[in-house]
Amino acid sequence: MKLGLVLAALALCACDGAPRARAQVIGTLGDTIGGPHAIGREGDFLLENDEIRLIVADTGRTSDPKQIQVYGRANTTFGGTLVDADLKRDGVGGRGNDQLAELLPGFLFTVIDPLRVEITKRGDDGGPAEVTVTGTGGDLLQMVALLNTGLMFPSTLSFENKYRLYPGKRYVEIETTVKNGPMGAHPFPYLDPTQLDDLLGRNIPGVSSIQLSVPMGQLPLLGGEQELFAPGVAGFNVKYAIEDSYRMAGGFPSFPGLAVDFLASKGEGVSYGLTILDNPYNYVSTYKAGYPGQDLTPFSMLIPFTYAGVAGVFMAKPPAQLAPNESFSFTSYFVIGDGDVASVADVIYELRRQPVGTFGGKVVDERTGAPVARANVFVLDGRLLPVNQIETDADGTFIATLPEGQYSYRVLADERESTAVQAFRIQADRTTGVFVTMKPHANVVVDVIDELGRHAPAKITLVATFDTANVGKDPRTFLFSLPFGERRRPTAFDGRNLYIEGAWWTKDGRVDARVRPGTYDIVVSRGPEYEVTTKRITVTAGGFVAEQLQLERAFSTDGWVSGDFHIHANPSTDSGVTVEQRVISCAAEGLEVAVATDHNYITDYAPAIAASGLDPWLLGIPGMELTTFEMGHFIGYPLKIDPGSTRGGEFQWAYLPPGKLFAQLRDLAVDKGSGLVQVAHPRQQVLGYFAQFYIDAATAEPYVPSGILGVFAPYGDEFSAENVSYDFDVIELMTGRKREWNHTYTAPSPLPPGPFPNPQPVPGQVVVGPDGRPTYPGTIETWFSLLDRGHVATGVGASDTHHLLGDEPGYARTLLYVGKGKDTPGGFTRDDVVTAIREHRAITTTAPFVEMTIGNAMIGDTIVAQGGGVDVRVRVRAPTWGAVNHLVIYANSVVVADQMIPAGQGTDYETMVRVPLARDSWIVAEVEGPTNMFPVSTPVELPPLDATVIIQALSAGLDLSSLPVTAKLKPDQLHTSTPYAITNPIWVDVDGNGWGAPKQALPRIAPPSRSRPDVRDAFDALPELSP
Amino acid sequence: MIVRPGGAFVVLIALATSASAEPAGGEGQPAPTASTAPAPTGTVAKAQPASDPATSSEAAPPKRFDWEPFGYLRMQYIAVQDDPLSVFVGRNDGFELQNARFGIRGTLLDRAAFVVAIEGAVDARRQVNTPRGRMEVRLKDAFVDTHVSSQIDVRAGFFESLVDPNIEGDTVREFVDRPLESRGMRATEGFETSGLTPGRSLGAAIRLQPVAPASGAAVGFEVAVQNGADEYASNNDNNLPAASASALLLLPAGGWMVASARFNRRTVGDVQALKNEDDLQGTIGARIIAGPVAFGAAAAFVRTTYPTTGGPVQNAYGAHGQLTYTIPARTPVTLGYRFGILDPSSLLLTDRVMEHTVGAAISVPAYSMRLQLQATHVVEQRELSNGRVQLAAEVAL
Repeated sequence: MKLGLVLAALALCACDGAPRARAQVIGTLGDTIGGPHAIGREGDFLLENDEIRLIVADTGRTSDPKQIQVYGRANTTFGGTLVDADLKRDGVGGRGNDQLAELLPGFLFTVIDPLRVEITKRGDDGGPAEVTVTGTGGDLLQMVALLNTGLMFPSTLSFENKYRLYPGKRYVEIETTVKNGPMGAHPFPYLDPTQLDDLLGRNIPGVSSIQLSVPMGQLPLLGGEQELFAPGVAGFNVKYAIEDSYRMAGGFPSFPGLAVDFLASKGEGVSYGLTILDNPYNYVSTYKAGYPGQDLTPFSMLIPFTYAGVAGVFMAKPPAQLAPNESFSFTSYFVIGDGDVASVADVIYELRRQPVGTFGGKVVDERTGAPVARANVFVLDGRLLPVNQIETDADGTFIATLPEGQYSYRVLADERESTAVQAFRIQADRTTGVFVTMKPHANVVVDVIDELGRHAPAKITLVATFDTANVGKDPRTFLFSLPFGERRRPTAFDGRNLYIEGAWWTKDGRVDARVRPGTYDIVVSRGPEYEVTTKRITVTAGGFVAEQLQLERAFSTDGWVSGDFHIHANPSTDSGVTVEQRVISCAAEGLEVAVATDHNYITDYAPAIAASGLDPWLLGIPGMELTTFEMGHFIGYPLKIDPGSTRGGEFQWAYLPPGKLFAQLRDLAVDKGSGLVQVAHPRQQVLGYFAQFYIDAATAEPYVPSGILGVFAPYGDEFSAENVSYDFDVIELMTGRKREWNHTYTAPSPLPPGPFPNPQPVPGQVVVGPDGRPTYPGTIETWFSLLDRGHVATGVGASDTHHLLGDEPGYARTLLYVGKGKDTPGGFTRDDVVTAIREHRAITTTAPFVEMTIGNAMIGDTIVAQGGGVDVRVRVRAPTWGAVNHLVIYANSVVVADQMIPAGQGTDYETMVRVPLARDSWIVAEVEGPTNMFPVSTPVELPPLDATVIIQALSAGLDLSSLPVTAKLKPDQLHTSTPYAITNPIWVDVDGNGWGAPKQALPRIAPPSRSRPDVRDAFDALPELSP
Repeated sequence: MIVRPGGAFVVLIALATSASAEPAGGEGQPAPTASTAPAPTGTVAKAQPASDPATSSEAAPPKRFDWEPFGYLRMQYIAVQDDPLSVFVGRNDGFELQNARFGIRGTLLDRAAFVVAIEGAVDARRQVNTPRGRMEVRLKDAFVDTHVSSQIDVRAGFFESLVDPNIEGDTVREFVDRPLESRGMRATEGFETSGLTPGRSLGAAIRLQPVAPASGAAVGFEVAVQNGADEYASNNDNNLPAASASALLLLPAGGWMVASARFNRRTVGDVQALKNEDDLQGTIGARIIAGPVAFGAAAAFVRTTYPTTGGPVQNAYGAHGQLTYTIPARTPVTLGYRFGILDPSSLLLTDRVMEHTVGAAISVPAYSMRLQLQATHVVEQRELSNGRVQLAAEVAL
């Protein structure tokens, strides 16, 4: 009896119920979080309390300080960052819902290169648990090293980041410290602009007239599933609101950007947020004059950019200088919510101790009375701008806290009309409830069969019309609202008043979709081999329409299969598409081969293909896009999957020259002898290999950029010209719908309003820079130069799709010849695909099918043709929605035929061209057309936000007109999607002694050339400034 | 096994049937006609000597543990008008298994009795207003009555309280489906909405079970505390239990009256964001039998407030009244009319539903079988055409 009492007392003592926080080193994968972006593993650091769980990556260093393993696992360069975060959920490790890619402190573009990660408080005393990261400064981006080094000069500083988790809280407190060394005072900025200009000798126009500042903060990568939200003018339109804010920038010393009260996100089951408390070192508050017209609060933070899922969130201004051994700390709070903004904002208001009241209610269907789940209740301020977003649950209920005040609300759901704006008032500690009814949705039921009566994969698109008065206007102003998180509805973008209400990629041609009532054209498609089938319907609120439609084949591609070798799904940080959605979308677009190419993640589509029943339709090949920050992106396939790795394989991506990156991809291949290495979007600024290495389109060799281009050139040894490697097998000739990268840019006629920097552009001629080189060299011209010099890389088309509607897979794509009769479901293998690529039997296309033959020789063949010329037969077939009108034939980079295709033959055209040849030659055929491929392939109608915007933002006030990315005269990025195709060559041996390259072969290693400028060296050479 | 009872025991068993609807005919007894099975639900038979009391001295002593199986099958063919606007109404005509009930009930000396039953035809829909669903097997009753005095029991387990005033069993109900206020509107038959009465739930109750009087009236009561969670919840997803109190009046010839009040603080929402909704509920029901004529009526009212989210109060009500006439015969035929009304929410102005139902039931007592036919004209406030015809067949153990 006594023993029982004692045991009971002990049990009660052990379960006092008080929430706890704790920190531990992860011993097994069972302790990790799990989820779409989870990368935590043994040796990392787990912080958890009764509400949330977080993982801080270890340093990645082994006992050998030169050996760094973390590169390639985390999204950014170094370890010691917050890599996983989720609510605490039932179940064991690995069943979580981490969608955070990464969170790390940023001191402008300096990040912490960690020397040590350690538990500094275990939390076993009932207090907070804490993990501390200490290290030196490292460059996040070498391209902005000039700014970074000049403003921060991190080499004399040390850095510390404490992640502190309190019991019972849904936030982690992040205390970030910069400490000066003992040698002398450290000013911020370290150099003033004139010093930069004088000492580096760059003669940057305008630099001497500006004063700069040093913003510090956090760099969240919230993941592709997460939609960023900032209260006020931005709402869910953070990306474009940042761009808009540039136009209102007050100028330096304040960096331009969007001032936000807090940053939050919305996601499936988990959301995130970042905030600060009122403090005297607030960056935005210090430079209020720099943000005219923006809503500033004591909690304002600055977002100068967001790109590829990375946002810069700067909140602290350091003191003018740090004395020796003096330090500066700032604190921010990373919040985890349950999927909507409101659950994040609730925590933020609590942190700020703001008096709040409660706003809640229920949303039901007006007609059926059924709860409307996952509707978005937007809370609006006095200007009707969104300040909060609350998602209804399965019961249609919602709840949030709001600071005292007068508000309005409006409820939106994608398949329903949004509600009218209703006003309400919030009083502290009071509850305001509402009951909301929404108009019913309509249902569209479509059943598609193919020409053989099969329920095959198909895409079903609903096309609608808008008021003709809005033609030509930005669709964001009348068709959908990005601030309110409405999905994009692409328009025809060609003067017609057509737009896409919705699109569904189906595995069996069946869809039962909820849509807004209206009149639509159902458009059924299945890639370029099929015509579109259309049927007009009208659906009323609460009503439905059911239709069965049949696909009609446009042409057959006997022996050729359709593949996309650059595809992303949610293993990529910047994609929110699930793998299942991705494989279904590929099959529905008529693709037969899909190579998974997630960023630094080896994905295998096979399980999803099998689970979706798509085995007969789609072959998945595991691959990866090895993603560097500044060197370019490189794709490898077929790769083997390492199930023990959190990334599907172990590799590094930072601080390695291209040749080693390529070798890594080959090592990861299933068969090292046949693995393929593909250069992705080679001419994309910042992310393209040819662009970053300044590969001359005329010679295919690197050159050293001069002038301001050199300022923004990465300085690392791995970027030196002699490190250029041609050890790749495949080049993307066309990536996505970016036709503007295909060919070298020529000035339009007439020219747009100037002025232009010298040399002055001439209409119709290639736009060149001061060095005489093309300012925007084309991928195809570079590929031609490689062919001319005997380097045979197979040209392919790929989509680089990250999303679905507006970024469809398969546009562009590659047709591969796998053998006559083998282009049937299941009729070819992965080896057939690899062989076809190795043999260059490939056609890059957005829709047309271009067959080129010389006698019996086909694309990829080498033939002997003595006699001074060859007859090149070209046959073009295309669907009516992708008709072509122009054929060009090249031989050794020279146009040897240029024909307009008669209007009536744009879908089926055949010609024979006599090409005189005086020497060994390669021959390529190219077709194009003006047809708008909407709605099958959507236009690029919203300006893409890419890394160049970061440079533009950080360079405001400088005259960077000579920088290609900021120039006035540059290729138009906004256009419709049009038909285009280009073949790989047929090689013609004229002299019968084997094919010889028409130009001097490329050197195995590029000749040593003048090394690139290294701004770090320049600083080191300044004794008066060196510590 | 329990000895097959005589006629007097039929009444006793009828009084002693399990929760909601499984009275005599449903639990191993010959299927009664509508007029012979006025069975208040939720009771379990106490062990009784089955033979003539006069010969009880010769009877064997009661067994320590007795049990018997019971069960029934009900299947219907239903045809609903195809509504031209709503894809989910009227497109799923065909056969439905209404019940595949099997259970056992028993006694432990004269101290306790129990019922355990499963239902093999639970219609589990994937979501609201979808025809897609699965037929599932689920627990229906699992409770024990402990006799604390000659008339008072303490019930514990998974059971249905008397808050649902429609206490006839499935096998004695005159119409194919339950009244509107209890049933709600099923998916494919209209805009789906739940009934206003609670289903089964885990909990405990103190019950005074009246004995059916030969004349006058007998009074009983039930005070119950239950989880108040979803009928098939494995645990309590409410933070607080629901409490109810009911008064029951048994009348001669199988008539009865019942009135109840209930308060349930429901917990709704996801675990990460739970909310409370308070239901204050009142129900009343009665059945009066006069020879071949039976009149039945019931009403339910629910007032829901939202202490967590705020918002206007929602009132809901539903009721029905019915009149039946039974033609006595070897195979009695019952003809009837039922009017039902349901307004699930005072916050929606167009969600009221009314039903006019005419039906006939033919009983074949010798085979414990019934056939039922009914036609229902549905009057919706919203634009909806969803009248229906149902033909049901039933056989009981």
